[in-house]
Amino acid sequence: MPTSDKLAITDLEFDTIKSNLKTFLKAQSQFQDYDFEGSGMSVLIDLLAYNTHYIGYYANMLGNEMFLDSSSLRESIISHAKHLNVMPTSRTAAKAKLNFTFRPSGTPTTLTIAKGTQFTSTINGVAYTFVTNAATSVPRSTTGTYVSLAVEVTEGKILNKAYTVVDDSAQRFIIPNVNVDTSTITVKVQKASGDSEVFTYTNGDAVDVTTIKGTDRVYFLQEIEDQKYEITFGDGTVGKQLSTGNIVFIEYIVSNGTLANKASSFTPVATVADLSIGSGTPGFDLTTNTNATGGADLQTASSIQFQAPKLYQAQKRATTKNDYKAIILEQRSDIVSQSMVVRMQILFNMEKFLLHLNQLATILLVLMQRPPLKMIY
Amino acid sequence: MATIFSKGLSTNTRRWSDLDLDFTAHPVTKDIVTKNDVEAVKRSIRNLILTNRYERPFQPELDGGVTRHLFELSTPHTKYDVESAVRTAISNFETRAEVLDIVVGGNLDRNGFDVTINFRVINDPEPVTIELFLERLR
Repeated sequence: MPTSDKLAITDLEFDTIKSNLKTFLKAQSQFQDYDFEGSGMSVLIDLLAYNTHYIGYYANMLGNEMFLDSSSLRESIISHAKHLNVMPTSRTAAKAKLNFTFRPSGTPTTLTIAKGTQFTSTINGVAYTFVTNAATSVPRSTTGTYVSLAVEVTEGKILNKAYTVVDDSAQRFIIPNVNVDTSTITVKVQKASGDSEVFTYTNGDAVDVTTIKGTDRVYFLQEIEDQKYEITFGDGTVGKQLSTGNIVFIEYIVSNGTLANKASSFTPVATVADLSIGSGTPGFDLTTNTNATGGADLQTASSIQFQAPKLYQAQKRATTKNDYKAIILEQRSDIVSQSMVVRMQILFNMEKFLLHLNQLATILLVLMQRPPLKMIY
Repeated sequence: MATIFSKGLSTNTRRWSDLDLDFTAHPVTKDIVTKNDVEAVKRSIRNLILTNRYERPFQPELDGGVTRHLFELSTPHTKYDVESAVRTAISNFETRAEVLDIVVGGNLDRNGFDVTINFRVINDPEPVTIELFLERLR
């Protein structure tokens, strides 16, 4: 490299930066020993080159993380997706449906399958727990039987977290677990420890934000660092604001995602509706209505990069072929691309068919209302 | 690393100068004191020997080679290893010095080694001596 009193500034590699500094120093007359590794000048040049390399690397990474296409950190990608009003899909729990036939000892009016009733199913030697995510009432039929069909069980464990609201604007309501299925989150707020009234909050992201009033009990969800989720509440203008002393209860299911798909044989962990499984009376029979399906993993960073612009483009419409594609991608991330395309085509064709049917009906209506045609001979 | 030949070193008029890493201020000019000629080379050798592997960014091969021996027992084998390491480091990274002799002596009272390096700066016939005391912690 030619000797120059001008310092080259376009390189980013450590060795090139160091070489540029040496080139610059060669044009100076004060020091001669910069190119011997033990010299004091060499130590200082190393320090300068390292510093320059460090800042250059930092600026490069900073530049990359500023755009959705070039970001590498999941947190950055999610932040960019947030600007496009896109919430990455969480891990989704597999769901199965079970049929029950109960034989209680007496003749109660109803039996109840309690929320949180557990079942296990083994896939490839690994046991997975399925739970009922809501209580199911089983009424006595006119023939005196107690049959409940297609009771939904969700793979995973129901967990809870409670926060007491303090007078601190920096307080965060973070779900402390990873692998949460966000569709299972329920949020309730108790007014105070001395006031047992509890209000259920709904997901504010699921409704049009312009319709949310300052008194509406809504929560908002966002993914934060380490693949965890944070719940935020309204500010008094959009959604009701929390008050100091409120107690926030968050309930959610932590799932194994795709691993529990195809579970087909279920065994109750304990009693169901206070009855034990078995053919006798009292007892109950259990059969599988639908094998477990729908389990999906957390949306990957590259998937968010791919889908976010498309979802933004669709704007939650269902008009064009790409809109259907975006909606399916958003709601059923477990569907593989091939079957997704087929389903999308079916939906799109169905839409066109309905449109044609509508046009045909309109034409028929017009024809029926007009006077009969005069026959000209 | 540039070699000494790239500097066109064929006469003994070549002056060596370097910064003193102690950064002592000159008592009169208040400028940083520089090390010149033999003193510059001596300081360079000292820096080199006290450098550990991976200490310099992006130069993992730059190694004085003595630190790993300072935790060994003081035996003739260890002394030989220290001498060999010092000789290799100077040969690889300080091309201005031609080693004449290296003497390593165990200093049992201070748990270290006294190292005496006799060398000649390549454009100067006068032998030069550096005395170093190598200990585990510095």
